Amino acid sequence: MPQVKTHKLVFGYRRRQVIKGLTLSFGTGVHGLLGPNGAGKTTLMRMLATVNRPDSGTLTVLGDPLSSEAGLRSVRRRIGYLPQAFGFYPRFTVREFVEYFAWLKEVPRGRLSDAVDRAIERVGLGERADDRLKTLSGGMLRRVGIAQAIVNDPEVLLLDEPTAGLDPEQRMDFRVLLRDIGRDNCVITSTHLIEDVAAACTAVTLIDSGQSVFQGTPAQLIAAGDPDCDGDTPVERGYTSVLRAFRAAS
Amino acid sequence: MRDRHDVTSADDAVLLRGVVRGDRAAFDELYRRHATWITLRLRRRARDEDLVAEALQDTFLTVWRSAGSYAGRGEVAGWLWTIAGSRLIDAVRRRSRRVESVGEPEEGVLTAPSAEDEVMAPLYDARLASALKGLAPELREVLQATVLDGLTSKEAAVLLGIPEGTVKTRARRARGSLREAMS
Amino acid sequence: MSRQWHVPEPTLVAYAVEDLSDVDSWSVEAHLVACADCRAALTRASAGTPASATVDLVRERIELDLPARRAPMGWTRQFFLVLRGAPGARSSWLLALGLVLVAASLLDASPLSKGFGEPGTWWFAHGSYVVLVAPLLQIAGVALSYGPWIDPCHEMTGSTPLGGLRLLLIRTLLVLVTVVPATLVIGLFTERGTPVLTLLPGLGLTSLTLALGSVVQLRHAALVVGGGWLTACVVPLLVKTVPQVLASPLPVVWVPVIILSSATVLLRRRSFTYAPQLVRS
Repeated sequence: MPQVKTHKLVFGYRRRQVIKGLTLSFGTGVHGLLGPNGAGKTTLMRMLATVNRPDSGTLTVLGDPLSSEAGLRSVRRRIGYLPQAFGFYPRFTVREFVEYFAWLKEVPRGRLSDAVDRAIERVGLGERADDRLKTLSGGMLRRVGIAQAIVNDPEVLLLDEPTAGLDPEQRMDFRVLLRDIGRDNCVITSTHLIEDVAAACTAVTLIDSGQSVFQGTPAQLIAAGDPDCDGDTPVERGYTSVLRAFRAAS
Repeated sequence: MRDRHDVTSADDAVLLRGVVRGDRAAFDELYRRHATWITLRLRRRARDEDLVAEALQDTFLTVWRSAGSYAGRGEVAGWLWTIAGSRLIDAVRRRSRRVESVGEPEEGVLTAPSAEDEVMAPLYDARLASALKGLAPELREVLQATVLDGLTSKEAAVLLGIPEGTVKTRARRARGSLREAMS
Repeated sequence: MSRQWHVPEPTLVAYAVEDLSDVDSWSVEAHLVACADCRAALTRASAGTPASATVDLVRERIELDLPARRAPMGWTRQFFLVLRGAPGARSSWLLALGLVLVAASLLDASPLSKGFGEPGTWWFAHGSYVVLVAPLLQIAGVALSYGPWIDPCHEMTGSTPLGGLRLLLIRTLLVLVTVVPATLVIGLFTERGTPVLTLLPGLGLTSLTLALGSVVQLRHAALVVGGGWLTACVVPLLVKTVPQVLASPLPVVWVPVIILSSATVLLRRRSFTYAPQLVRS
């Protein structure tokens, strides 16, 4: 049973429809969500994170259709979310910030401190735990964002452009963390870096203008690649080919 | 203080769920309850004290990190021993620089259930006990590894430091002579 | 967990000191997996053996490997953490709040600056700037502590169980616990504000703001409610009549306002569930 399922999901801002009937499913593993700018990745991520309510269609997270207040609340305890526009409180220290979100996620007080320490340790910020956020670099702030997302050991982890601002070495560490979490949980990470997908993901979902274009493994995406298509790597060629074929058909 | 009381009266599965959530008191209680028998059982399989300590440490660190992988069925003790057994194998592997021998492909894997039927069920059967006692020590240790500990012949080979083929041969011989002694 | 059969004590001791035949040891081991009582007995029997030394040694090693043990977060720390997380409770807000209250109470205390007041008017005898601005401070505090326009983490809080209405109520409470005691104390000193005067309009307008905030954006709700309050107070003063809302805040009026507003918030709580009041890019 996949942890996240969408069925004919529709969402729009005023008149403009951004998500046009998406039916997708995400199970255990690391899923890369790909798509050109404006494809609706961030909007979809917000809905999966239960921040925005779909206009129509159904969204099932961890087996719950999110129709009741109590169901929604218990689902929210079990998910983690890092938005693309990661906001923070500059005067908080790393630990305080992660503690704040542990509190918001109703992590029991008895094990809150340990959970916070573990999350900070896992993103490699143990040394900076007592530094104020305003003193951190962009890459470190992203990692703080990841720490708050994983502090409740989420079963569904949603990361919107998590590698933005990370240097290559940090990206490698981050991939290890993703694989680690993705062994038992459902991780969905949206990215515009196609090579991230090839390196860290067990599955790929490609959307374009609010519609599903492709769902499969990275190998399947590579196999779909037309050698004549643009792209420096096999995955990029697969991406361009699939996207081009979809646009030609629609 | 209240926590301490709760912990000592909780059953093992409850403690494990506590460990999943990072509850140190639950972990300490699990260690208190299980470390000794696991240590003794490990010591009978590896006489090297360091190796036993290493395996015990790895076992409980594994419990701390992946208590969540306990399926919730069967005795927690059994699950713990499964971990301890494989951590012991890992420790032996790390220790020995010996190249792993590759087992003969035509031999079937020694299956625990049928062997268990033969040896485990009538454990207190006097005839069987005397038959077991009559076994050569090297055959007994193979039986212990494969039947009682449920190791695969490959793992048993690592633990006992003999080729996998030898494990299988000895296991066959052990079962053969048991059958003979029982008939 | 009692079973009929347990390993006899001498056998356990022999096993503990590793002086038991292989075959008997197997029986013991097979039994131990299934019997908690015998495991406990074995642990007792093995005191002082090499095995128990290993157990103690490894316990210390594990202690070093596990993350350092930390005390549960204290209530005070948690309170201040939550307080500081509310944007409206930041130091700049507290400073502004303090300044406004000090200014208002100075005005109240000074016989020279009675604002609208000439001797003989109602305001001269009874008026209080503190009572006038306290509800406004509460409304402003609430509007400044929740929403995407003011809270940089609003979107992230929206995917947490405490996000939405619960967070809004917690932060509202924080605003009330900073403003209300301050105004009560000032009122006692200047003798111009009774607890009833200070509490009723403040609570009423705050709950009204929340209720309206379930329909429109919270900041707009705050503007409307605050504007309404100012109008109701200042207009009568300008035309030299007694502003009833300030002179005698009737519980008969305010208590139903508080109750109805709270009921509205509860009934419309779903409008806060999806954090948004506008997370719309």
